[in-house]
Amino acid sequence: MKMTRREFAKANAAAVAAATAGMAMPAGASNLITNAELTRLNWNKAPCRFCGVGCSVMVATQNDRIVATHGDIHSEVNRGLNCVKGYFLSKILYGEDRLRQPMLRKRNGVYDKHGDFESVSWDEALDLMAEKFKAAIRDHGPESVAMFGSGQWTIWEGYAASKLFKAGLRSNNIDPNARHCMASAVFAFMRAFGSDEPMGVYDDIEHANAFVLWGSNMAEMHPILWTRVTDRRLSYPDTRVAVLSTYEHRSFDLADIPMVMKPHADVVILNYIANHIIQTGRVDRDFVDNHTNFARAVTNIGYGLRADDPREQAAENADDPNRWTEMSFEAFAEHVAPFTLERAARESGVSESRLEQLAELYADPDTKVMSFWTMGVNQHVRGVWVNNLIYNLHLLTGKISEPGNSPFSLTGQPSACGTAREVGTFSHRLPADRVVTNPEHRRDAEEIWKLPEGTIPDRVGFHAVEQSRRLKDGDLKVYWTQVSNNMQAGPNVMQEILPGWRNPEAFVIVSDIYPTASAQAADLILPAASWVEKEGAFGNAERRTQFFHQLVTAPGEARSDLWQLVELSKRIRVDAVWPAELLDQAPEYRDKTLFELLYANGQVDRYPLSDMEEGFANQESEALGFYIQKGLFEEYARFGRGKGKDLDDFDVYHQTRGKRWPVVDGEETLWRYREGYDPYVEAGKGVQFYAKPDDRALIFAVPDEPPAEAPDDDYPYWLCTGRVLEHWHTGSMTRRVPELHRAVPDALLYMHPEDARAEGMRRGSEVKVISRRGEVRLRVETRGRVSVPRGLVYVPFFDANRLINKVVLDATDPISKQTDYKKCAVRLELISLA
Amino acid sequence: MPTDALHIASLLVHVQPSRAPGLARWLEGQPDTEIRAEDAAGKLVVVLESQHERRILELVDRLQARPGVLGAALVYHQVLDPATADDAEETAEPPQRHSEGALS
Repeated sequence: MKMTRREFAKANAAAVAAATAGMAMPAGASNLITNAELTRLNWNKAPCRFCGVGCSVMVATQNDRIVATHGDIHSEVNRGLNCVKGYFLSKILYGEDRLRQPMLRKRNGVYDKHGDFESVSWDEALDLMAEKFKAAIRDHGPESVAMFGSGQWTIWEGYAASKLFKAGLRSNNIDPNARHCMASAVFAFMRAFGSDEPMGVYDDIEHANAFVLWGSNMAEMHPILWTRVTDRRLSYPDTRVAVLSTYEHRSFDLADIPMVMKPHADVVILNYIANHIIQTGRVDRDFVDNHTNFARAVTNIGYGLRADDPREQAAENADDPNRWTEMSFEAFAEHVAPFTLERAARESGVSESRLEQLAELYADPDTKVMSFWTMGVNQHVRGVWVNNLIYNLHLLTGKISEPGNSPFSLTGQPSACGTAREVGTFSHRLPADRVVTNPEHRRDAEEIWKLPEGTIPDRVGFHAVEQSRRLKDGDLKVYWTQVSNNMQAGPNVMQEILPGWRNPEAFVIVSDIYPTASAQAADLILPAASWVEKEGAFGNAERRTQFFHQLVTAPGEARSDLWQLVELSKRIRVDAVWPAELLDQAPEYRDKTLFELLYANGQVDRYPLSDMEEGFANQESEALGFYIQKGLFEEYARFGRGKGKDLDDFDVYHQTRGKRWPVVDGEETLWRYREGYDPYVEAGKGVQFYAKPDDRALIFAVPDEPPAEAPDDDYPYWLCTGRVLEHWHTGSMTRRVPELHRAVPDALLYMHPEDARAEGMRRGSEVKVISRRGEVRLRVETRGRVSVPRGLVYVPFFDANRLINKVVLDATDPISKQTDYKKCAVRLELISLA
Repeated sequence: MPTDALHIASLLVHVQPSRAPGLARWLEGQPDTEIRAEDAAGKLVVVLESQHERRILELVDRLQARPGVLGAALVYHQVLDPATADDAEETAEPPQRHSEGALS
């Protein structure tokens, strides 16, 4: 059949779109395939670089450059769909200001903290770094060095970094920016189930009759999953969608039960729903009696502020907040009894009828309910508690670990799960849910890593917010950040972060692909390779591990984070950073470098280059002479096998669209803890929370405690921060895509029109947003995609020219150490009316 | 942005079913925009031709603002050379590996 190229392309476009939605197309239109232009391109799969959903995209390259991307129709995650960020993926690598060579602050030809950036060679940069690390450890001990990474590290990069710090340099001061994002989710999973990450999968969406969004704007932040929820809602009209937030956003368009609550009222609402389930006799007693225990959490746990803050001094359990005691079901029922419908409505501002409809989604045994949440829950001074309160509802009703009944914690970064959580790049963790404070866990790691006992320090390292404070206080002397932008994303920038980075005591290194706010505040900038400029692996929010090949070459002298870590390790000898006692236990390591200790250790370097798939470049492995990504992955995978965290063999992942762990005998696991789905559940048990010693999940009793800061006469507005669809996080990539930048160029201050009128302001007015910590200038928006209630203002954080985090309080959940970016108090001052 | 290119894109649009007829009428009034498929549950396949990628984003934005629209997801994008866009070409079965991305 002959047709014009134009008509052909349009038929193709329509056929692919229809196929993604399971829609019928006119006969003949669905089999049209290719044309000469397309076959000249080289197409390969890769998981998207942005959020934690883990969509697979097809990437077309030509002449060593990405020229097109589109959704991967073979992906079970996105089924060919793409969100607007994913659509422009091909452009994120090609901003004009891409970093191409190392740059060091210098004066008169030598490093000077107050000098200007000059280009330097990799050798000069790495030699200076090695010198700084060695001097700091020699003079101040291993706790004087730290690293900050992210859930954008590939799995092997995070693993290599964690190993370099915890085993090589012997410092647990390594933390990912997932601390700002997922830490509350991690702690709640460990408390309730003894194992991190969701029991369910995205397939739950097509089985559920009800969806509840607890502090998540999925329509803009996880648009592809939202498309699946929307499809379910439209295809099955009895489906109910409940959306709860402190302001109205795009997800409210689909809501059958829309609810705007007062900030911090979620604790009361969740306790009310537990009470409703009990009072109406809908507890699944069989499930509760056989599979759960009840726990009373310690209270008055503070806000993770500096120890001299009066709010910390008044908190009796601030030092040890992650404790609980056993309690009975009856005592739990008594604990939630005061959380009545009337109280929940009064304190949240949501009507009784809507709260009752919401409660019934959980209480009604015939409704399969899926709960989703992200930053509204996790970035919360009681974030761990709120995560646990959501699990309470699913556990009381037995609505868990089966198709459609699913408490589902979403993530914000492509490998928040795969790297930050599973690899254990947090300052308290080791791979596969192990922790540095457990002697057996340290021993496991030391054995796998072939290290003498006592190598890994037993103290929890400095978490993200603590790192900023320790820099400012002069305790940290060398600080290295990769794939993160904490100068923009961290809280209380002007009082804590910037003074720390510019502290003359500190040498700060930033690896990035663009001159971010962080890079500009550093002393040494290292140009990084990104995404398909290297071979990589990400793990998404449904436990799916996905691989990608190096498809193009990084520009100039840019090198991957993995290459940078390995090259530094070659420049540091073990005896320069280990104490004599430890060297005496392993004298064979004395004359070795950290590279030989950690990477050329007979394990990581055991796979030859001939194992690499033909037709793909691999910059790091070709330079080293062995297949380092495979070596790191296979060594890492040993931690999880047989522990419920099993990964498949390395080579399998390049051939599939990912697999969800545990992968046992080549089979992925969809629903964990449920017999028939999860191979770890013993026959006849039905349900088994096997990561807990007695196979029982924990239901937590927690009270409501006030936030760290609330509006008052001087600072009368709540400030809530967040994201917009077009920009991802700090905008360092998306703001370099002209189409995305043009769509949403500047961050705006969203406020209620009546508040604006009362303040003598209007849409377009330039105003100062002022807190006790700092101020920022913004323009007022009273319409548009975000509709806030009176008394609350909302500002996105993607805009480096309008750093809202100057204003945000660095209060954290005291258990997870995750910052509460959603609640602090501000006042507004008019600059010009417009 | 090159102006000598022809962009072909498709979108999957979800809309409240009661609003679907109104949206379809609005789309039919948009230049270079066609509805290629729709179903009763509120799904539409929209194909757009444009000289600029920016137009594709603008359509997504304007769609999002229409009453009843729940989402508009981009699916397919191809860039053609306008000089040869109206040449006739034989269609073919796909080769197994490298064409996979474009078609599926």
